[in-house]
Amino acid sequence: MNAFAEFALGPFSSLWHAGNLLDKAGLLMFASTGAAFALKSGTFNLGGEAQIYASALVTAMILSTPSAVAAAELAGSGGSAGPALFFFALACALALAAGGLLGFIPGELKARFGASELLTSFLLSAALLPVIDFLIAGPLRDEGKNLLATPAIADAFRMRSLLPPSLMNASFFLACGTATVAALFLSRTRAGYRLSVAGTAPEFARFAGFPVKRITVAGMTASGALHGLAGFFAIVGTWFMCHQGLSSGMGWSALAIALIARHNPLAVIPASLLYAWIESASDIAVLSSRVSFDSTAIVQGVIFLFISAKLPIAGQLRAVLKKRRAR
Amino acid sequence: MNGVFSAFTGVLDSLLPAASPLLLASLGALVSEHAGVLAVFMDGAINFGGFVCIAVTGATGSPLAGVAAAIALTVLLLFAVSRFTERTGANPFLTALSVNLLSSGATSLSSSALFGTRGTVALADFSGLDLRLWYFPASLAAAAAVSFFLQRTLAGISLRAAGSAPEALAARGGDPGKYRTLSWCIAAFFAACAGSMLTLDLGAWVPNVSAGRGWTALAAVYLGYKNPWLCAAAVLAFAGAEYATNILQGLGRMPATIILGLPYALALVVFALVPQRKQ
Repeated sequence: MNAFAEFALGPFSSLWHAGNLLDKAGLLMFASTGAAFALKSGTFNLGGEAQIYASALVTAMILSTPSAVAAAELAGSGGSAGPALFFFALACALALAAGGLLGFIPGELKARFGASELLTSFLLSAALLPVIDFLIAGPLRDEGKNLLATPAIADAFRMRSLLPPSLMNASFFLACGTATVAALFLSRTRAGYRLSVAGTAPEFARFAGFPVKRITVAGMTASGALHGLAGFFAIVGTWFMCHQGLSSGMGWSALAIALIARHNPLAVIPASLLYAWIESASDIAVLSSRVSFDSTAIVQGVIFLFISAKLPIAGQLRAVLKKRRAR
Repeated sequence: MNGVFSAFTGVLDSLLPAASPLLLASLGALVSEHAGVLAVFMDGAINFGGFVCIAVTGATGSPLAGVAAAIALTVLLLFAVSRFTERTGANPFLTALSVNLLSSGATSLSSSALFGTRGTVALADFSGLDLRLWYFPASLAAAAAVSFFLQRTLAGISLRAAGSAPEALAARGGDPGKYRTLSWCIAAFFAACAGSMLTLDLGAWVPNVSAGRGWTALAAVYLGYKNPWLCAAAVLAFAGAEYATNILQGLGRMPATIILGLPYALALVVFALVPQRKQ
């Protein structure tokens, strides 16, 4: 019992751990809102890993170009903040575009050739990850450091920590906002309605004259772009440089969260917090134990195994709840 | 002329053994695809089987025991996952995907707990098996066996019916779920064989020893139009491409990291261009 309490409370043992938990949950929220978006439109986006990683690299590259560095210096020395803001916005736009493009390609392959996006999105991601690894370790590496990482971005581009010394920053609230907006879009707008119908009842959507193929592509593209947002904030809010293996499992975690949240972006908020809590707790447990291993993969594997199962226990629970409600 | 001939046989000597694990894996994937539940767990199952093979070979000193244990445990694992999937009505794509993740977590946990490393697990004083010559003929024999099984046996025909017309199979008293489970067990068997072949050839297990072969195997199934013999041809084409990139790498024309992504890129092109069954 004591060991369990230690495990469960580990992430709240210090401001450092607790703040980092919130920061991680925020990044996961962006990505899992994206994963939920794809699921809602009736597709699976298994390329989240590279969508996050590529967007993070794009962000880090834009913000360390000589003109961006000069703009940051100008803002830092009391001059106009305009140019720095411009580069910040540009990096964000390009990160969205990079993620969106990596979602668009499998979507388009499905619409045009009928290729399963499950496989193509995964394969595209798996093919790109080593290329990004190579770029970070080779041509784009900061030669002055021992890390396998791009140069660090200037202070002016970094989001301030709200819970020092932890990494927690305003991106957490932006993530909650993004998930809420996505939920409103899906439930309150005509385009969102079409997307959901195309996802849950494609036959009906076709019958109603909705452009189902276009909607699929749009869903995948939006999903990729939201993963891109996670990559952007991973750089400007959390790590300040793109290091090798930055996305390490985040794409899979995001999909697991979206499945736990039953494809609902609003439910993604608590699900991300819960997931980040489990992941942080197991990270801390593994750190303090003798054996070191990839605990994230096991957590993800267990979730993927059980998430779509109709367990007899769950059925009984539902029956009990129904009875209560009936009374 | 003699020189050209010996160069050609030299290429074949390295190409055919290298193609063998991929051929075995694609045969397993092929059977699962015919049953309508594509084995997206191949990559994880190869890594898992390879790990068990090295661990047991190291403990007992007998590669035969290693291979037997790899087959037994991998088949048992996928049997359990398939039964679970059928009993709970879970999405077979998701449960198969979970095997990849669990395999990576379980092998990293066991290699850390048993061998105190998260990296390479090498067999001490292992000289390797002198069986390389037999890899390809054995794999071709397996292709023949799979072809015979699917075309000529009642179980094979029922298994295909479980994929193409499950209602018809059920109406005739067959249980499609049972044949789907059988197909995953066969896929697991071939994955364990492929994993053992890869690791015994190296005399070691390394994380992700499959290097994406589980995914290329799936692509080979479609490129081979779900026919075992055409699959073998597709696998040879893939192996040839791998051979060519190895030469490019040797010449220093291409960075080693990027080459890790090529099997996936190749599979992507196949999936994009070859028509598939609707998911």
